[in-house]
Order: sequence, then structure tokens, then C-alpha cells
Amino acid sequence: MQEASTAPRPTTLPPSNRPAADPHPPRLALIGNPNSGKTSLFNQLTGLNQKVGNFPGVTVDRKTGMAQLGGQRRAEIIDLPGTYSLYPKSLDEQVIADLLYNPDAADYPDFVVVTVDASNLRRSLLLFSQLADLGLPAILALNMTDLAAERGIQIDLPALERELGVPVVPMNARKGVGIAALRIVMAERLAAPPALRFWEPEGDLLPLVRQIRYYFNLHNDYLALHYAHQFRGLRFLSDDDRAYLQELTEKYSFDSTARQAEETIGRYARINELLLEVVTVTRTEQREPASNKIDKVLTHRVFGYLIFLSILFLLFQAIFAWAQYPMDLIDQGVASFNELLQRNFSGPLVRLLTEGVIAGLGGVLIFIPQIALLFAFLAVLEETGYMARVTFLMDKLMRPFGLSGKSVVPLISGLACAVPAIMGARTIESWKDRMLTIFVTPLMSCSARIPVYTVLVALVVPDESWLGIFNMRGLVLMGMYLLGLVSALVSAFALKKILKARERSYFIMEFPVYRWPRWKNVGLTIVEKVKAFIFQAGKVIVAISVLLWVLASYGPGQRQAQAEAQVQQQAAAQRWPAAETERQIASARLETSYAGTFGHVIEPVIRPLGFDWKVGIALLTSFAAREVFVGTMSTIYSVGQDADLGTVQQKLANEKDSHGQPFFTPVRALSLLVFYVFAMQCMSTLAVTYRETKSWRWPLGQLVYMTGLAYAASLLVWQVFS
Amino acid sequence: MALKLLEMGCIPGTQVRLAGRAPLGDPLMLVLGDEEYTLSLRVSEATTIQLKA
Repeated sequence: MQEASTAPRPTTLPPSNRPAADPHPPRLALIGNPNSGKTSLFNQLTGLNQKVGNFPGVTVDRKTGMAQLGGQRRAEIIDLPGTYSLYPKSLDEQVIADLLYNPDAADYPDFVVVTVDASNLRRSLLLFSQLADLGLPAILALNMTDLAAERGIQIDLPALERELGVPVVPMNARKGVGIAALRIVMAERLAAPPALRFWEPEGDLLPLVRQIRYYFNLHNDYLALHYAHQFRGLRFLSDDDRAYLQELTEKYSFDSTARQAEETIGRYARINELLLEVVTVTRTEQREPASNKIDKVLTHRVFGYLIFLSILFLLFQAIFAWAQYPMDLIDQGVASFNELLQRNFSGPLVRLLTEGVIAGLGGVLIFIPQIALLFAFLAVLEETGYMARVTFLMDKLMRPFGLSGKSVVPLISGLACAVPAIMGARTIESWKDRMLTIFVTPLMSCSARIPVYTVLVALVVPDESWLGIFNMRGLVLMGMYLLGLVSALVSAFALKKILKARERSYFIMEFPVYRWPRWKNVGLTIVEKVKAFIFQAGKVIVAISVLLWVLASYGPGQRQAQAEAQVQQQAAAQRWPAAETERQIASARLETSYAGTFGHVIEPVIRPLGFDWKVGIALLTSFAAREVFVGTMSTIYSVGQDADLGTVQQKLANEKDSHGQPFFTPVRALSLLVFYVFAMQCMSTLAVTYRETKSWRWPLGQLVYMTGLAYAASLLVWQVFS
Repeated sequence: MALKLLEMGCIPGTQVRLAGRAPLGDPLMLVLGDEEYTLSLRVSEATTIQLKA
């Protein structure tokens, strides 16, 4: 615990239980309003030295980094969620209370840096005034000085420092102006607990407050008051502690809501007084700020939506089309690498490595372009301030389904791929809205389903047009997409009734001023998200794909060897060419593998849907990735892995059932189609859901729900129409 | 709800201006006070605010 070495004012430092000589570098917490440039500042201070972990027990990201201070010294920074006040209104904000009210917490900071928006000083100071009253040593980072200047707001810096009692560093974090000064101030440990009190609890609260102070051995009246307000939500308190506080607050008839209101009003009054001394506003002309003019267009009843739709379309194009090039490159890269290995080494272990592990790894890496692109888009939207307008436009439409205005972007992204879409649901603050969005996004028909749709639709829908202009195949395809969308909305609606909200969900939010995106922030976001995906979801994906590979390549006992021998006999007798023999062997081996056994075993269960054991095998393998369905079907029907879709179609069309009739009738294909619209056939999605919700309950729920839905729909189609 | 509004700056005595509504009528755009920063909130949330001419 360090002392403020050059502080000219008397200080009341909180006693700490930590040893005097702390071996680790100073720890500071970055705190401030949302939209006050906190993220920019964090990025400026830490660059690529950032790490994302999580707070124990909550699904809130814990962002930390190492910052260079002046003169070779370093400090550990923890970036706290943006908040307007210490009274938490969301899970995110709750984490702040848990951290700052408990000096014994592992993350308890040595001092705080408060980012304040200079053009919004009055409101920004509310939080600061609370932190000051807690006695926390602080430095004020007065950000967005350029914006303030534009608005004719002039701040008397020395006066501000004097009034607040802490060092004030003016800056423009986006441009990097003032950061050096901040580093120096931090290094010289000039952070001082303000000697001034902004607000005092009413006299009649003192007995309550003092009792709490005594009981918990707290250094500060205001902290004790917060214990009284928030004890139910503070994790570090024991049940006994809470019982005590419950008793106490009842005894004194403590009305938390009324007192908070009183306090907030009181603080603003004091802040107003202070600002009168320190700030002068000179309005040059009554010019309408550019932001408002832009808003007139972007939130226009017609243009607003049109523009939004085109941006969505652009986003969709990016994830769907532009990402293809790097994705193909990655695919080729992995395949070439595998080929190289296979040419130089042999043996079963090599096969496990190349076809199992490396292929699995390839399956993870291939998502990178899409994730990067989606987050680039999201970051730009958020940085420019447009995201707030999106929420504004879409909220009314999304509310009936229990979704938030911000859910639109993940849902649309899900049309390309659910994996980045689910990760993108981060931007939704309300826990319930976010969970709902994550849960239903996989129902949006993603691009991996397209090969499956295409093959099946082409199999049974004639290539004709309806009413002369609409291609029938196109119509059915669209029908499948619509089915996905409708089911997503309906599921959200149903789930909304079942889920209990953990917190009151507020819509009220600030419209930030429009500004150019800070590309550095965008870049850092992309790096962070990609890393998180690879190291967290990636592990699960590789594990499962290796498992599936093993199941598809090895079989119980000698059955595979026997099957292969049989095929060899046939090949010799009928003089097949080598390629044909190979394909038949592959098919026989798959049939007698564990996967094949699985197919046979579940056949009774899927027969009511119109499927047989061959389809059963494909259902298992396509769990790795939906498009694997086509690959597996072609192996089973011994088409060969490099066949084009046309060949696969032909083979499937020729397949006959036990009565000599075509196996893949329209109804059967429709049943399979409908199954794939709903089925959770994607382990990557489950892995990402696990990572984003930090629990297995949600992905398991998705699996059960969607598989159930798929089964029911398929059953309906087959039983009714055949 | 009132607490959240207070914290965001809707202190008794502050000037507010209705700057617009979303195309479907909900939510609203309010401009507060001298600093003129914009808040958006749902109609259901806004009804808790009492205005004085």
C-alpha cells in the first residue's frame, strides 16, 4: 500500500491488511462512464499487453493489462465495466461493487483512474464524487477535451484540481494526447485520496452507519452506507454478515430507494456549485451540432431503416462472401500440410494426427476470417456511435419476442455462421436478452446448411418455375430460411416466458456523439476476440472432432477387416478399376465402424422420420460441421470424396429401397430437409455457446431443444405426408 | 427506474427537450440540460418523468 509521496494535503488512507512491501507492481483500476473513452485509454496504456479472463462466478469479462509508466516502471491495470454510479443496475456494475468495497479482494486497486467526459462534466462527476467519498486515491483523466472545446466549454484546470482534490490530466485518448502526462502522474504516485467530501449522509443515518463501521472494521462512513444499501448483492459477505445487516437495516427502517434518490440529488447539487466556479461556457453561435443532423437521416422513419438494411446486407456479404477467400486459403493450407505429413510418414498415429487432430484444428482456424470480419464490423459500428441508433430503431420490433434492439446484428450474422454471431451477442447488456439471443441464433439457417439444402432440394423439387417467374427450387430454399427465422422468433417468445430475469432490464441509454472510429481499438478488439475463440471454444471443437474421427474410422472387432476382405473379393471377381475398389472399401469401412454401428442402433428411432441407418451415420458425422453431411453421404454411397454435387445427387436418386422404389422420395427428402433446418448439428456452435455463457446448461439446452424440435418436425412431415 | 434516471442526469429542475421519436413511436430521444446530451429511453420508462412548464 503506497503513500502519496508529494501530496501537499492531509490524507486519510484506508488501513490495509496487505503487507507493507508489496512484491507486485502497483495495481490500478480504470473506471468511468460508458462512452467516456475508457476503452481508448485502456488500449493506449496497454497496447497488446491485454488479457481477458473472468470474474469468478459471473459471466463478466475481466480485462487486465500491463501498462508502461514513466521511467521503466509498470503497473497492472484492470478495466472495470462502464457505469454511471456505484449503485449497480446490472451484473456488470455489480462486479465493481464487489471489487471496490472489499479491501481484501485480490483485485483491490492501489488507486483508480477515473475517465471523465469533459463535454459532459456534470454527469460524469457523479461517479467521481462517490469514489472520492469512499476515500479511494484517484487521478482524474479529463478526456475528450476536443469535444468540449468545440462546444465552447472552458474548464479552469487548476481550479478543478483544487476543488476536487486530485490530480487532473486533460487528454484526448483517441488521439493519444495527454497519455504521456498521465503515465508520469501515475508513476510519481500522485494519486491522492481526495480530502474533500462531496456529500454526507443525513444525520439520522449516522447511528446505522457507525454500527456497521464498527462491526466490519471499516475506515469510512460512506462505505458503511453502501454496505447497508447493497449487502444482498455483495458476494464477499458471508451469510451471517448479511443476516446482521438485514436485521440492522430493518431496525432503523432504512429505505434504500429514497436514500439513494436523496443522495443523487444532493451530489448533483454540490457538483453544480463546483462547476459554476470552474467551467465557463461560451456559445459561439446557435449552430446545430453535426451529430444531430446526421441523426435526422439515420433515424428517419424510412431512410433510417433502409440504411440499416443496407449495412446489414454489407455485413452479411462480408461474412458470407469476402471471408471465403481466406477461408479457402486456410483449408488448402491445412490440406497441403496434411498431405506433406502423410507422404513422409505412415502408420495409424499419423492418421490420427492428420485426419483427426490437424483436421480438427483446421476446423477451428477456418472460423477466424468470419469472426475477424464480424467483429471488425461490430467494433466500427460501436466506435462510431451508430450501434446506439441501431438499438433505437429496432427495439420496438424486437421487444415482443423478448429480444433487444441489439439482437438484430447477431441474428442476421447467424445467417452466415452462428459462431461469430453468438460471440457478437456480447454487446447486449441485459443478461436475459443476451441469453435469449444466444439460444435462438442457431435456428437462423447458417451457410453450412446450404450444401445440405441444395442437394436435397435439387433431389426432389423439379427445376421449373411457378407462375412463370419464381423458380420452384429457389422458393423452397427461401421457405427453409423463413422457417428458421420464424422458429427463432417463436422460440424466443416462448423462452421469454420461462426465463426469470435476473435483473431489471433498462433500456435507457445515452446517444454518444458520432465520431470517426479509432482503428487501433478496432484492431485490438479483433485480436482479442479471435484469441478468445481459439483458446477457449477451440479446445472443445478439436476434442470432439478427434472423437468423431475415431468413431468413423475404427470399428468393433474384426468387422472392418472382414468387410474390406469381402470387398476385395468382389473387386477381383467383377474386375473393378482401382478407384472404384477404393471407394467401395471406404464405404464398407464406414458401415462397419463405430459410427456405422451407431447408425444401425439408432435406426429404429429415426425410422418414424423416414430415415435409415445410412442417414443415421451422416447425422452423427455432420455433428462436426453440417456440410460434412454431403461428404459422408457420398462415402456411404461410394461416390468418392471429390465428387461434385451432381454426382451425389444422381447416386442418391438411384438409391432404391427394399421394394425397388426410389428411396429418396420428395417426402423423405423434405423430412430430412426440415430436420436440418432445426437440428443443432454443429459442435462449434455448442462450444461457443459454452464459452459465452460459461456453463454447460445452455449448450445442452440448445442441443436438447433443437434436436427435439427437429425430431418433431421431421416426424410430422413423414407421418403426415407419406 | 427513477433512480437510474436521476443518475443519468434527470435531476429535478433540469431542462428536457423531446428531440425525436423512433419511427415506430418508441423509444424517445430526449435532450437534457445545458450540456445537451441525448438520452434514449422507452415510453414506459419516460412516463415516470413529471414535467413542469
